[in-house]
Amino acid sequence: MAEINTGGGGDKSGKKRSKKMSTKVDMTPMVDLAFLLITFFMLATTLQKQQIMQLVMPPKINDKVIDPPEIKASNAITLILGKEDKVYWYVIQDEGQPEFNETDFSDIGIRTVLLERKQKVGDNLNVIIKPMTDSKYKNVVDIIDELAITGINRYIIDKVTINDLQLVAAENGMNP
Amino acid sequence: MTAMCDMAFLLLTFFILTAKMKTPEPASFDVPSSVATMKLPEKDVIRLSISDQGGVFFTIGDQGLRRQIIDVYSKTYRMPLSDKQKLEYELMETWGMPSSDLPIYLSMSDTKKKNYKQKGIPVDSTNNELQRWVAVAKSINPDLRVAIKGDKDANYEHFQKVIDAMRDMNLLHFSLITNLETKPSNL
Repeated sequence: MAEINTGGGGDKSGKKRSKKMSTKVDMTPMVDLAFLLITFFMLATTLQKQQIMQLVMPPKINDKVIDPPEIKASNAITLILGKEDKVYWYVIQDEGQPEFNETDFSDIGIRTVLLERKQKVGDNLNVIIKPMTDSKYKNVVDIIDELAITGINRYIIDKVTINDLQLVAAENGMNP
Repeated sequence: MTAMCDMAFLLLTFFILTAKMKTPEPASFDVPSSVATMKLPEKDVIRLSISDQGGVFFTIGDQGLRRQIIDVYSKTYRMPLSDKQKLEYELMETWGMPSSDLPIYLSMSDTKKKNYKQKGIPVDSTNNELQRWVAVAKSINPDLRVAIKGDKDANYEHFQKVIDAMRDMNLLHFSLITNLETKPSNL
């Protein structure tokens, strides 16, 4: 009864101090955990973002076709993608037998070839990509990527002809 | 301390809410890298994945759309499915198997499903089920775009089959999913 009646005596301070002490909680482990989770979720979300590369294919040729646009043979370069990351390329010249070459996907390989052709022909350069059935999907993406890097916008993905396969076989037969 | 703690939890909540849980996929698709920087849109995408074995898998991100697809498909191609099987399909984001195996797979238990090896959707000229599924999806939502997620080591012929199937349907625009690679600086 006496405690209720007293207005604000000095004898109360002892009780208050003991209550204040109990409110302090050590938050360090909680914050550690929070930051750990933040780091995890940050990394997990950024890794999931995926990039896309646009690819447009020509429509299938049927009866009511408009004539396909004609290009000058010497403005075109044909790349044949073979197995084991090999690239074969040739340019049909106005006269004479086309030279058949073999190269690879490195900086000094196909990129130099493309840049050289681009310098010679200019923006009219057309690239015909012919992946062989045993080339990898990665090769196709790599070559389109290489075209994007060298700034060549005109390309088409075509099917290999028997003639191309023979050329590749001949090339492989000559330097095994 | 309190302020930092508040910040930490705010960020944590943000990242938890924005994070999308990665659903387990029936096969692994290790995509090639390119310098392309365009982002894959989250909506209106049909994803066709090609595994290194050449199996073709079909992914629709939107659950509501998956429900509509299975409804239309089972009606059009006379594949009787119970409501429970349809619900199972609805929960499946990525799958790939011939549609003759689909009803059996949908009534399997979860542990059996895990052990079942999905072979991929047939894309042969005689039995082109991929075209059917894409046609059904396109008929429900004509805005759908085709994205292709191919494994690095998938043979080109599998990719060509998928592309040819889409070209037959007059779908000519593709988005190839790739990882980001830095552009060489010497050009």
